[in-house]
Amino acid sequence: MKGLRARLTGAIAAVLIVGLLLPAGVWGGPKSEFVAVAGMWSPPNNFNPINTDSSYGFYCVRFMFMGMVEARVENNQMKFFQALASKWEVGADNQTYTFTIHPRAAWHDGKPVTAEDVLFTLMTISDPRTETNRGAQIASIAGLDARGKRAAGAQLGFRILEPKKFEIKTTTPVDPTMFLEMFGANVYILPKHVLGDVPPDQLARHPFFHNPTVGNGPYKFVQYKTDQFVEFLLNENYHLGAPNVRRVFVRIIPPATMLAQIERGDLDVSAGFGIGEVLIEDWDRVKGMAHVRAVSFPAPGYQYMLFNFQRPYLQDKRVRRAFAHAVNRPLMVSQLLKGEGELAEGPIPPANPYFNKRVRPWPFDTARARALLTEAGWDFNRTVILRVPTGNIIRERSADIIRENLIAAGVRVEIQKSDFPTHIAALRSGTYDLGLVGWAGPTDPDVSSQYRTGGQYNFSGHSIALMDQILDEGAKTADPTKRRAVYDRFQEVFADELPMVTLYYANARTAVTKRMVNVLFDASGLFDFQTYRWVAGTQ
Amino acid sequence: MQRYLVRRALVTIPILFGITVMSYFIMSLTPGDPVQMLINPGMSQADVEIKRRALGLDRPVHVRYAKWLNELVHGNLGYSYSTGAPVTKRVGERVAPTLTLTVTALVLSYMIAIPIGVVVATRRYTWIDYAATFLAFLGISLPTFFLGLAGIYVFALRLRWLPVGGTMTLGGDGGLLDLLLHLILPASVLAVAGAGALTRYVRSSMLEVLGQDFVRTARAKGLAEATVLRRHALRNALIPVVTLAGLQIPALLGGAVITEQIFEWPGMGRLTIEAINQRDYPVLMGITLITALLVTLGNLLADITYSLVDPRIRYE
Repeated sequence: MKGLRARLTGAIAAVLIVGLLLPAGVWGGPKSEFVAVAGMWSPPNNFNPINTDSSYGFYCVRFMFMGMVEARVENNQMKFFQALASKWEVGADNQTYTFTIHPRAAWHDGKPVTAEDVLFTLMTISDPRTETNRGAQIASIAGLDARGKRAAGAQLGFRILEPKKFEIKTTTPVDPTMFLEMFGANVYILPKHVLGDVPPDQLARHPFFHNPTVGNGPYKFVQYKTDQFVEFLLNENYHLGAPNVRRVFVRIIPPATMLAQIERGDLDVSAGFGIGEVLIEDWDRVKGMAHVRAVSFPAPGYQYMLFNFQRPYLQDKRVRRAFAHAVNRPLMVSQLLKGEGELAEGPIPPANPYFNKRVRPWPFDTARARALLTEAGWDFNRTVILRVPTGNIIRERSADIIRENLIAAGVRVEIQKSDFPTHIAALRSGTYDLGLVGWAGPTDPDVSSQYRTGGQYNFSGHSIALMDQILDEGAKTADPTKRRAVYDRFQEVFADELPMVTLYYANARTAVTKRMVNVLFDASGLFDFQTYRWVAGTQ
Repeated sequence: MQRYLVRRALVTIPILFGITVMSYFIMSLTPGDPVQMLINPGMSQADVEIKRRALGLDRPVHVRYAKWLNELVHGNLGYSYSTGAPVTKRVGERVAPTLTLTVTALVLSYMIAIPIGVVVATRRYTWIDYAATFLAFLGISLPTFFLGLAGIYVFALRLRWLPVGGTMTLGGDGGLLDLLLHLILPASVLAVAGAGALTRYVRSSMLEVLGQDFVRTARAKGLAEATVLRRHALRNALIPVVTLAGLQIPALLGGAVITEQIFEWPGMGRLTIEAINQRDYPVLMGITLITALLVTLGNLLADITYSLVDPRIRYE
């Protein structure tokens, strides 16, 4: 009896030891050349190519659904590459755009991708009953109003020339680069044969967008494990060539443990700007890892401090310039961002083709700030409210710097923090003086939605006639060279008027394992460019 | 008994109704709304208005509530604002992972706390007692955030025994062993955090019982000390401790926000936080309603169990 017990104990101990050792071999990370793992911070809300409301959703969508082209900034130039379209032509009038869909472009169920699908997608987005967030991307197309919607009976500027060839007319001549980015790269095509019969007002709740089995991209949807990962399998019939990597997993990894995942080799690619980056405090450590390339690059987004123009005392541009002088922006880049960032005065990123190098940020100069405030008759007993959204730690720290800087210049500041929805509500209702927000837009320099009078995202409620005039001119100028001159001028006026203070352009801090080849970021700073060309070596 | 049950069930209806009214209206007072916070350069002003209408946010709150209630009566909890999926699906898919994590953690924490509590109660004011007290307070005061990251560093990064997070190996077939390996770290972290306080409860409850007359009687009978402890003292000492477990049942379903976040665990806590951050009212209402229902049912169940266990309690 005693012997049996001893033997039993021994056996259990052995099982336990083996059980503990076994997994050591199991979790070596994805070393297979057939698997790649990308990591992003939050889950996608759905896989609706015309309605998923975050970059997280679009990152996943772009493995499965393509637009006509893919876009990327190379050598300060916006470049377009084949996606569904194998050819595109711009008419001499800059108003007629002809696209030829690749002859072998097909849906994952084998049906060809046709001009009918494109028409269906445009009709769906422009239908006033459809829930979508692509309206602004197609607003330049003839037959649609400025908000991208079709009035009853209006004829869409769209003509099917051949089953796989179509022509689009814009309302007025437009910059071809703008049109190719907005419609070409940012509108992903829906399968008409799957969704054609769904009433537009019910589309947003259609189960297809949680199980999008019929896409047209290089990868097919396999499954989404809630909050954990999305699994994709290669589309061996992808018309530009079957992907090299067989399976791609997009994992949802909280910022705090991304470092651990990278170090273990469980993660190959951090998804990119704003949705999957290396935390600034982990950056040096990632740079020291032998199996990882730490990639930092200028991203198309910035943080800014906006002024509430409903406040009479903030309407004087000397006051706003004083604030720009008062804030120590170089310190933010060198300390908060450890040098991984740039300064610019205005909403066009330094890496953008339209960036005006001659416009320099106002220097940090407390004395000058104080002098300007005195000149403008600033009441030094007034306390201004600085509203700060929580969630972005670096931004929250920058608020403390701003506060100290402004106090040094004689301005009393009270910081009010809240979660993002509350923050936006406060900005919309005007119960603030200064507010921090981040922004990332397309490469196209038309920033009317933020900086034109009455613009949709003009949170500060400013109205500057000269700026409106230049923005309108920029939007309707079709000639790229003339357009550049307009936006050069815009940036000069912007720096003079200062409807907001641009705090910094942070670089995207990303990590890609060295075994991965051809992993490139696209125009929005995400690693989802031509994913069919990804190669995963062994490690 | 039957009449009592029917009465209790009937009382539940106005209670649940009251809860939904209060939560719906309080929620509508939170600043920020789910459409206003969507900031997307691709979205036109028309898109914003269409979405607002589609979600019914252009209506006053009492109309929205009436509509929601009407749907509820027809068995429909509505659709998530942010994903478009039915609320029942969004909430339902979290139940199993949440319970797996929290129940395991609860059981583990009792497995840790009871032996330690008993041992230190019998060796009061010895070094073991002080050491255990120290550890217990460490467990109580260390945030799960820290414990979680420390656990990941040691067991996932340095020793490489366990995965960092998730519930299954990527590309694997899942299975029980795989789930268990993914469960060890998060469940242990939660258990350690919970065991601290529990140890203190077990210790004090045990001390109280050990001072009772029947324990002295048992010892006087000449029973072995182990038997006295196991048969007589522990059983009685556990009654208040088990009651404590009962009180934790609603919390079990609520999930563990921070632990879920760190370990990529698809639990209810994370869903709740996500839903709050996105002002996803239908999902929040779904969670509230289901939790309220479970608490009410739990209470009813407890009352019935009392009457079965304790002959002095009778429901008319």
